[in-house]
Amino acid sequence: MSATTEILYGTLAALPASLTLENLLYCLIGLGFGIIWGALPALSSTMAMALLIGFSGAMPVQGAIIFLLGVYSGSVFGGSISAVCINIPGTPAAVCTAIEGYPLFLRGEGGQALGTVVMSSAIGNLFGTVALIFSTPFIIGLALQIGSWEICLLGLWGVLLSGSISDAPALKGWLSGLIGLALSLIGIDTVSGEERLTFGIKSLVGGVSFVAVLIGVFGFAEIARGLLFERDAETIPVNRVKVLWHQIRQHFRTLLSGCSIGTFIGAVPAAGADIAAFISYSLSRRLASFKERLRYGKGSYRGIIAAESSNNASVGGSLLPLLVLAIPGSTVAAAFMGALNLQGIAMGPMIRMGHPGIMEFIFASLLVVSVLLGVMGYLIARPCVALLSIPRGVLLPSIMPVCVLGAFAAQNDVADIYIMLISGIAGLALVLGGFPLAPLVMGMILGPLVDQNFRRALIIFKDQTLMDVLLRPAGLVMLVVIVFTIVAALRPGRRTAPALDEKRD
Amino acid sequence: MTVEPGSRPDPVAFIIEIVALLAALGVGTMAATRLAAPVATSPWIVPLIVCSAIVLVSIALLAEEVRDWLKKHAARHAADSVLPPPRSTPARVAGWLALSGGYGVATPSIGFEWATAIFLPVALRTFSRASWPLTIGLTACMGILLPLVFRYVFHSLIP
Repeated sequence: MSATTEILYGTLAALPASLTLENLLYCLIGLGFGIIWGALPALSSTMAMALLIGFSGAMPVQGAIIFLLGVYSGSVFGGSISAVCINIPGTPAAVCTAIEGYPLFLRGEGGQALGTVVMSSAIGNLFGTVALIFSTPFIIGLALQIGSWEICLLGLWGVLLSGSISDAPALKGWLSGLIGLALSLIGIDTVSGEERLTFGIKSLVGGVSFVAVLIGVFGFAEIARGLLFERDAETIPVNRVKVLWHQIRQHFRTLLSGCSIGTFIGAVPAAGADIAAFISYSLSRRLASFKERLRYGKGSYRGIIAAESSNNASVGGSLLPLLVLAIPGSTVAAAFMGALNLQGIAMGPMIRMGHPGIMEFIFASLLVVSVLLGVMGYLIARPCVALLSIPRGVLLPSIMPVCVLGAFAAQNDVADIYIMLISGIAGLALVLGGFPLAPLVMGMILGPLVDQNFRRALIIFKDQTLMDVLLRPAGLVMLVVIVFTIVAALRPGRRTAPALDEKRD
Repeated sequence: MTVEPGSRPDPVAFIIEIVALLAALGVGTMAATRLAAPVATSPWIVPLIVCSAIVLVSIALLAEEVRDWLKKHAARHAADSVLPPPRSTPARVAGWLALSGGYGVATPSIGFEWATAIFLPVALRTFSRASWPLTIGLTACMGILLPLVFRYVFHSLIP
């Protein structure tokens, strides 16, 4: 039996476990929570995942997995509700949806726009999951052939790329990523057993808690930013959510290309749903007929389908490098990795041996989540619009207790509350200074991987010359990619996606 | 990096870059002094490389900040088109940081429920002028219901 068939059968065999009453309940709660969270303009997908890691630690393993996958998929979709109804993307991934959805809403076609968002998202999620199932064996085979040096370079590339593709200057992104790398080095070194950079503080011996930092930078700092520097939006009611099947049929090719782009971009380390949506949207606009192109920016269903199918397909894509290489495809995937680590599940090429059945359960759960996303999205998209009128001044302070509890609950350690506060204040300073936070998180999650594999490579290559090391085919490709990433990011006149810039401002 | 004539220099970014540079220099020096053979197994090799990279990037960023500031300075003299500075809210920022920081610090000492009972009404009334019924309802929800859910549904400890 081939590896693909084996994983496919394993996934089908894991479906009943995903469909137990308890797991379905976890899934529905996660989806509902994710959709509502994503819809609220001041709250991001990463914040949702960060805060809920603490809660998920106390859940059974399967329940935690399906709950968090529900939150992940739901929040990516939910961001589009506020994008369509108040022209404020709930998450950066919904920026392009806002460009096309809001004009439709103003024309009285808000329900139809939301229906298109629901269907495109559910199909995108399903496509990404199926692509994940079929490509995993291939990537596992590849991962088992590459050595420590290449994995180290891959991790490094992830940090560099997350700094390069953020909406800030590349140097600022890299500094943020390097700070994350430095933070990950604090604590006992796993190779030598020696204490590093703890400065005699006992709470740091076990390392800086990733969950506490995540809650600090994506919870505390985002709450402060939303509360102090952003304004409330006004809402108006939306008509009944209606799926326009003829639009889906008419733009089926756009849907397929959006799904493919989303899955591929999602699998690239650090390139998340926002980049996927933007590339797919831009491509659909470029390939549109003259008549269709005129509709872009004034309310195009084709544009919504391209963006939404892509950003949701990236969910499955982002799990590919995470499960197989322990390299998250996005900050939300990094948070998911943190949650799995809390459950004692280590990612990487050996995941199927170390934790038999877990990967298949994740695939099966994603399939269930994709189907339920369509149903839940259809049912609660309209009621969600009412929530958009909650003032930030009421919403954001009310989340602070969840930050404190979430930071504490991850390890039942009071020190994590202090780490959350310190990293939150530092995160706010970074945001105000124009530094992106995503590279910091990527640096922190990829730091141990880079550190351990770099030193392992040094031991392996002890008796070889530098040229021997540099000329290893896979390593050479990675080095070229890294150099290209640096050069492309530093070239004069580099601009980030204009639409993303406008909306994020 | 593009320079917009008339935009203000960024003191926060400047401070962050200086702090990063100094911290990396300090930690990098410490790592260099502790680095011992064999280098491959020394736990200080990666911190040394990371700190060196931070130093390089910080210097490059500082150089850009200075260059941009000089350009802005020249542009301001050339064309008197200075944009008004953004609305600053130092008192609100300081107030929120003190309030939320105090909440986090006080939670382990006086307990989550009491800390929330003090923090939320103050935060809601100060930052949104929420009505009293809403303030009391939310405080009860977050201060009583949330810990109950944590304790009895998730079987988790409460600080």
